[in-house]
Amino acid sequence: MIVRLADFNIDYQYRYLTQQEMCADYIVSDDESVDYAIRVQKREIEDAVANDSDHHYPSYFESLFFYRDLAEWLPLHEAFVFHSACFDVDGVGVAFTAHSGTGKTTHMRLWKDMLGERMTVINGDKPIVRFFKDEINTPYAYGTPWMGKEHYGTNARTRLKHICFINRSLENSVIPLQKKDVVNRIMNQVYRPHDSVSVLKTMQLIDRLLSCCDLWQINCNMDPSAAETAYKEIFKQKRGD
Amino acid sequence: MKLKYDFVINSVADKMIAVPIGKDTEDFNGFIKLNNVGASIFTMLKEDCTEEQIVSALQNEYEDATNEEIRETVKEFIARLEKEDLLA
Repeated sequence: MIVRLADFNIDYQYRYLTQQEMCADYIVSDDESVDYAIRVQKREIEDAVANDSDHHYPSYFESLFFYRDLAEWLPLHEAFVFHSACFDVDGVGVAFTAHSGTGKTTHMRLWKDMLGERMTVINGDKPIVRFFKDEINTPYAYGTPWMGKEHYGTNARTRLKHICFINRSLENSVIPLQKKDVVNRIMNQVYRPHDSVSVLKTMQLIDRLLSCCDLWQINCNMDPSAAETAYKEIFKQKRGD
Repeated sequence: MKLKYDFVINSVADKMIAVPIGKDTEDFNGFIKLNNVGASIFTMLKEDCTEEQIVSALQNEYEDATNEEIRETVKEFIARLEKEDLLA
């Protein structure tokens, strides 16, 4: 099958039908021209299953290796996987990023409860960020089939404008950040390839992303008022407050 | 002495960052932030070289610094690399 991910056409010859279900929203016609082909080797899956103490199904590893293969290739084409919960509010893209378990998805849900139809979740776990040659300073965040355990996401894209580093706190507050403040945090949340050229490209793309976006630290608890506080601060210029 | 892994060094947000590459880097999944001197030393240590060679090269690069200052900086940096188990 051919799946269109971040506007790349990927020829993915899967082994397990679960892959077709997982990618259902991204499948395009077999007549489309192909940008990249991915074949997960049977042996690779068998080895992973044999060494797995958590008893995952083989299809789990097929999905994982598909993701990794794509994530290694993307930086050579001005794109990368950004571990974050990403959504669109009135045409403006927002990404919440943090270590797993910090509560970025929970905080995103609070925004969704507050904003309703004005907000579209792009992807709750692994969106792809892509730049285009004719819009070199406009990062687009795309939905992917890898949506995290909550399964939040859609086949859509948004212009990424705000990157928010989520920090659990008793009190709610928002702090504007500079690029230099976030190097450690962002480096840990972007897929890191193994090939030297891809690594270099990834670092350059991260640098460009940080220059294109407004950066924030959101200190938040799990109360609905946390979303209100963060939204008001981050969107205040747009609203003219 | 030389670095244990291959590294890619590049600027991110005006900071020099070194990221290990290759399949044998599974034990070191991090990255290293470097100042300019550190980046110079790191680049030299991609190839096998001695502490003396590094000090000598830095003396040419940083003419305003004294020999003692450079020697001390190099010693500290190498000690840090040893502590992080980054030398072959």
